[in-house]
Amino acid sequence: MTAPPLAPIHVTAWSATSALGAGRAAQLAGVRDGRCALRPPCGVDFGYPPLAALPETVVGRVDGLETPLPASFSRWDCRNNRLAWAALQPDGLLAAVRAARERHGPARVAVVMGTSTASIAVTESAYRGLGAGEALDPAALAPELQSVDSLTAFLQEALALHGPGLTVSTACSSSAKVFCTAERLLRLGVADAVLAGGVDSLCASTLFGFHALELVSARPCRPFDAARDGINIGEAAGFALLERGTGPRQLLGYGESSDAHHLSAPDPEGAGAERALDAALARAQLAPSAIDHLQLHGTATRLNDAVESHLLARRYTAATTASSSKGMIGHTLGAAGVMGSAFCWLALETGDVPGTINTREPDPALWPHVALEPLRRDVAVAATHNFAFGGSNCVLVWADGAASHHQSEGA
Amino acid sequence: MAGGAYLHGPAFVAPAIPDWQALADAMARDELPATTGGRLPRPELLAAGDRRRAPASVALALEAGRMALAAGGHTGAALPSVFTSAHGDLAIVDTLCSTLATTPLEVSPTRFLNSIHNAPAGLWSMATANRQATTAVTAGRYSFATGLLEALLQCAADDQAVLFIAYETVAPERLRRTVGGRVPCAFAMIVSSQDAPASVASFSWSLDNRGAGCHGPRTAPGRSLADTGMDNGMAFIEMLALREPGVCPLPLSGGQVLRLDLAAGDARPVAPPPSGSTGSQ
Repeated sequence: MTAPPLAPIHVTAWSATSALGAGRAAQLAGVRDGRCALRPPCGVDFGYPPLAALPETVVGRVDGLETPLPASFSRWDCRNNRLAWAALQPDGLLAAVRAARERHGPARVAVVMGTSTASIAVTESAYRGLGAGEALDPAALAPELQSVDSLTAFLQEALALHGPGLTVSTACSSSAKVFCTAERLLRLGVADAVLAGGVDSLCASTLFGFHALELVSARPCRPFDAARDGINIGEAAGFALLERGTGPRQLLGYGESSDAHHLSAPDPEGAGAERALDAALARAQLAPSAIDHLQLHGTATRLNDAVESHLLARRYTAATTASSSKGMIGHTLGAAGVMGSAFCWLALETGDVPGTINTREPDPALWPHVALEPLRRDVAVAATHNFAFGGSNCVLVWADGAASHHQSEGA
Repeated sequence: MAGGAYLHGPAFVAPAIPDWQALADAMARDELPATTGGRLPRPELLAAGDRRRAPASVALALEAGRMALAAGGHTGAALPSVFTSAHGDLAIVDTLCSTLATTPLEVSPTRFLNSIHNAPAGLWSMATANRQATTAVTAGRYSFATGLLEALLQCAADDQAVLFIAYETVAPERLRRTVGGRVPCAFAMIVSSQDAPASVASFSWSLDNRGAGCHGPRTAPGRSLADTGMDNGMAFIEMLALREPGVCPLPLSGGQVLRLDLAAGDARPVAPPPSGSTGSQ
């Protein structure tokens, strides 16, 4: 398969909300301060009461999601959509979407969202109210919310966007893969603007599910640390408006691949991940050394960081500043791809690169060039790794389209 | 904002409908197959010990995919794939949420992994030793058309053949009033920019604003199977099975339609579909 270079598309507006706070400024302040926003979980987010015990851990929680959605959207009300709605407000994003709608027409604006949890917390809650042998009442669980598509469908309605709507749900690569779909929609002329992004929210399924897999750390996670012992679940939302043209946040390349190895354990050599990296670099017509900043997948599980380290050692040099944001906001699962990209956009805009917060003793067995402290540097090209359950890999390469020193160096 | 594709190896599986030919026969006779009481297929791609334990979503999707590859003359390792489903595996949702409601610390790790929307896609890549891209998408009741659009975009954008798999499971008793669907089933086909001996049809596609003309399936088996998340996709499957050329508009979320103009049967396409990218750049 040949991967043609991309016709230029770029992010014309964006915003993100995580445990660091609402909007771009809060993410940037968190990056500069190297702030760990992880805190002990509130039982109410996971169905307590009646749950007797939560796993010992910390989570990346977004505050202020207790207010229901505006009455006109009440049928979509759930924590995931409240987070989505809150994250649309900062940074003039709503106005930018409205302007794109007017510029291109509502049928020419697509909505492509990644999520793993969607509104499953509503289903969990409905089940907690059931007696033995009792069937769920549609009043307790509306069909709209018993759907992984509830996020995309809500956004299409709330923003009055009539272009194609699609939800990608490939676990932790979901909201990275949305940018690949967005690029295809734009390149083939199916849409003139795409609202792409992802939202994942705290719920029992992911906390207890990852706990069952023995992948949840009892303390703030430490990516690439010798003592790393698992992830912290986080919630976040990020959105980008993509349109054709060049700009300071241009999508230069992307690669998607499968491990074909195991549902939860990555291929130990990282061969599947490398395939995604190769495809992204080929499209971008860049060598790995051209990547100034890399947002690692860096989940802080024993296995992920070891496998990612193999890949780093084979393909990258100390010329790339690599770090993981998971110690600040946790692993935001279905939103991890868009958050990784958000930290790339920030780095491209400001030169501020996140540190790998909480990591104190880098594992001597791993790639040695992971940045522990936040720093400032010239960033003309930034990339993000995303590796998911199901062996689903996605690598994105973002660049400042105005910068000149990332011209083709061959891949 | 339009394109075309050749179509290889359509495949279908449901309890009481073992393969594409059985579906085509039932639709041609306009006769409802015994869709209750039949057993789910055993996914032959999995190791013998895993077949019986495979969740319904995995069994259906992998069997449909296997049959599409065989009919289309493709090997598994070569094709990227798009999996689409409105509801994923409802039996697993039911079990997981029941456990979370009572004894959350006893959630089964295997069941949690199988609950992720891309579990069938991941198992497919493992079973076929395929490192090509897979994706798992959904769009509620528009999942079939939207997943097909994603497959067609991948096909056109990179001039490649793409495996498309749509599957739906049935709701267990407790979810039945909330989520429709009485028949578990899966459909698979390969869309390609290249004609090949295995091509059974070709179609052009375009997007436009929703107007009149969207229709459901007309045969009794088609209507009974449309009572699942496959919904409008069954009208397209029926046209393909009956080798009826014509236009099939499939509604998308948002308000547009994916308009498929099918040149079915043994007829070669009137005009070859454009290869590579289409539409404005």
